[in-house]
Amino acid sequence: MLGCDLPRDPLRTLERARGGELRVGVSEDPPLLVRRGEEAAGEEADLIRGFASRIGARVRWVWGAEEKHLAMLEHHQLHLVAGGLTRSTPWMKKVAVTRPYREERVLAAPPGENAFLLELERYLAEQRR
Amino acid sequence: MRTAPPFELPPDVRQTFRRATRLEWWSLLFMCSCVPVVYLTLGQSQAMRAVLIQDVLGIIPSAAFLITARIRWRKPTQRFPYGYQRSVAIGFLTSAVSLVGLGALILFEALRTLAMREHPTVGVVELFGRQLWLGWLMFPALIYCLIGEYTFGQLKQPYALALHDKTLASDARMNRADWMTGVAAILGIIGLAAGWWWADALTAAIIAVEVLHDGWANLEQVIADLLDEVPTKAHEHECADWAEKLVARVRQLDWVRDADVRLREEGHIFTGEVYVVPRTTEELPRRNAELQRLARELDWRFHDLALVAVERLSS
Repeated sequence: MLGCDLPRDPLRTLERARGGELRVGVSEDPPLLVRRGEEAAGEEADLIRGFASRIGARVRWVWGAEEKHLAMLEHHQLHLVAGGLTRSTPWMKKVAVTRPYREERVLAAPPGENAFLLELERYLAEQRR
Repeated sequence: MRTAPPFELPPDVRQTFRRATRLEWWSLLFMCSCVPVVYLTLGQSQAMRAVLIQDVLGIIPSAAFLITARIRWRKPTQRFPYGYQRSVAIGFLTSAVSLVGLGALILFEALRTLAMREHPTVGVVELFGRQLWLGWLMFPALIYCLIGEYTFGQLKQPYALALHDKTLASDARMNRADWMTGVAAILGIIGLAAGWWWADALTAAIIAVEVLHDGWANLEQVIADLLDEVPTKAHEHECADWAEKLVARVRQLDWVRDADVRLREEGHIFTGEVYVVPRTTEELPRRNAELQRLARELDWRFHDLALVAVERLSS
């Protein structure tokens, strides 16, 4: 019963993103995250693409203001938010913020989707090595 | 001012008291160790936060017992002629009020979370190079705490009975509540792991009700003590017939036509007035000394009773 598939996501975010679409809210933050038309470039963009391919998902970049993205993330309309976020963000308690993957920088995941967060954190930890 | 005579514990009771004090020291150390253990595995879990608050407050009864154990036997002074026996009520009142306040706070937070449908995030920690869901670490933390709480709760009960000590009794009761909420928290985390976001807040609400209940019971008791309630049971196995026994014993004395008492509790001790309709008032000082001795034979808690000679007992 206490198998390897625990913890589970209350809203099955990880399950649904697998083999589907990963909606990532991004805001420009050169040089780590740069806009190229609808596509994203830079180290943070590569990092996110890497995670998407790990879970077998296609990335769909959603460009816009960070504040708006975080609000959407809180309501599970996005899967990830990136672009200059740090652990001192006032959204700390409203969304799931990862541990810093490089200096102070973090990614934000939907609140309470613990399986998705665990998968993301495992990936980030591997990339840190 | 004439101060109350210092209260001397019978040797066997003193021995028991010393053992209880040692037990409370260990309990205090253990409860202090629980706080960082739970704190380190907190995450955003409200159930764990409720357990943490309960553990912090669980330190108070032990601490109150140990502090008052030092103060209560001090000799009465000119400034405090009745002595320090009631110092325990201060610690008690503090813990009761904080239990009620924090219980209400946790309950409010939990209900708000449920109403707003906020999903608790429990993050990831690195342990020995492995990425581990923090929820799994909550289990050993909770199990560590609840085993200790269960054990100390059981060990304290006989002392609470033997010493007629309400601090000990409520401490044992709180330990019992603590380990039961530990079990509830474990169920809550299992629910959260299974993907039921509401399991965490629901558990927190249940724990909050338990904390409130604890605080309310303690508050009732300390208010009754401060209002000079008649001596009552500290343990459910006690029999609260001290007044009847004392009256019956005094009435047997040959110089007593009729008698009644008015008693109150001061910490461990029972004190108050013994009203006597005397057949004779000859040798009253000697008879008073005899009365104190008799009372003490009846129960070691009787102390410094005031003998009042009256014409009749009507009131």
